[in-house]
Amino acid sequence: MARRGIMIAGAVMILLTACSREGRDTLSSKVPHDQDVNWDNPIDGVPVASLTQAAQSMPFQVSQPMGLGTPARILVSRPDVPTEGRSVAFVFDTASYGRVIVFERLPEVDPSQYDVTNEHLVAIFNGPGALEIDLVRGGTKALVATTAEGRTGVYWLEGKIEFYVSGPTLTKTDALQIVNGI
Amino acid sequence: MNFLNKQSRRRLLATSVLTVLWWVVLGPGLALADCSTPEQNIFVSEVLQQGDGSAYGSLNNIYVFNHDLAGCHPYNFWATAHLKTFQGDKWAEVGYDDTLNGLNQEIWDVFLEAGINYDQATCGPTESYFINPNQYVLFKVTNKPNTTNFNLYVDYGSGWILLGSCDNSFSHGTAMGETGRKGETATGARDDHKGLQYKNSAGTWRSSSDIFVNQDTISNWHYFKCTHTRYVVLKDGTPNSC
Repeated sequence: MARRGIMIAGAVMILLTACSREGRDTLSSKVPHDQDVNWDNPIDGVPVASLTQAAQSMPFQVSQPMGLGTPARILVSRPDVPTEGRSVAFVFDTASYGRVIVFERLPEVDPSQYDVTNEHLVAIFNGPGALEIDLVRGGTKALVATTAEGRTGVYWLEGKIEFYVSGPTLTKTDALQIVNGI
Repeated sequence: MNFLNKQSRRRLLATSVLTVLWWVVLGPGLALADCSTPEQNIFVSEVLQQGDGSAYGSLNNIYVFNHDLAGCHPYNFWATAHLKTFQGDKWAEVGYDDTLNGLNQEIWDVFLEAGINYDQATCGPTESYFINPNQYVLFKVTNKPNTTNFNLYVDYGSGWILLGSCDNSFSHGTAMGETGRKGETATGARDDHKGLQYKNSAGTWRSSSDIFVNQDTISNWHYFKCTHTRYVVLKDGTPNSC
């Protein structure tokens, strides 16, 4: 009986060791860091009073997003950001979708390579969450990124300007609805 | 095999059972702090030298400390060399984790990660080498010229080791150092980044001309600037020193 007890204990210890290895493997699994995004000022920018003022420091034509009401604030990149890297962020607090941010900036890849780059990211992506190309705004390819927790951001190009819609609680359905409506 | 007397066998059995119970009940879930809250970070940005508009790489010499750990899984503390877009939504990083394995033993892992959409990893996180604490370790993230691909390196004393590459949809932005933790105040956040460098558009590595804290959500620790290429993270109430 005692010998059987020792054998059981030994087996349990082996199992324990196996579990510890499993723990090590789990450490290597794809658990992303859930960064605490500052949704009040996600671009670490400075507030401006109007679209006109925002446009003054941008290297592209800024558009006012439609259908989301009046922005709670408009943010532009800090002055030390090089001109070609600057962006505008329109922050909306909506009844339907909660907080919504619409970003505008120049893309970091040549516009002719924009879709190819996004399609490549989708092709190599293996989670967690989802990454896909969807057609928006009547046929434009958009990169739709949904985190494992369900928060969605949508990237697309119009002319030479990259748009990015995101928000702390945006679902994919809501995000696509917004993208198609602005 | 019959080398234990009856009493010893009973003791061994009881100890084993108690060990298993302790591990099952407390081991992996030993979380006195709230591990479900978002990670907390200090991001420190490098100011580039005159004439350099954007960083294409980030190199940090980071001291590997032994931290108090909350027991969050799989991450507790981490420190990285970081490159982000100017908007902060896309990134590539390489650094180390200080965390616990399945036996609640403290380990220090080199890891890399890249992603978009602020916190959605598209590459990694991938752990690789174990490293020893109480030493400086070099970490480097560098954009491959004319691509949106990044190489990520570590050097813990014997030269640069390529850990891997990550595709993304950006090439340049802000060079940073990151201090991060889970488990709120139960996880320590001591950190030391020195020799901060960035890679400019010509591919030359240069020292930062200044540094400033870009984001700080770690409640009981704070950033302290030592020089234009070095900073430390210290517990509130301790003297500011490097």
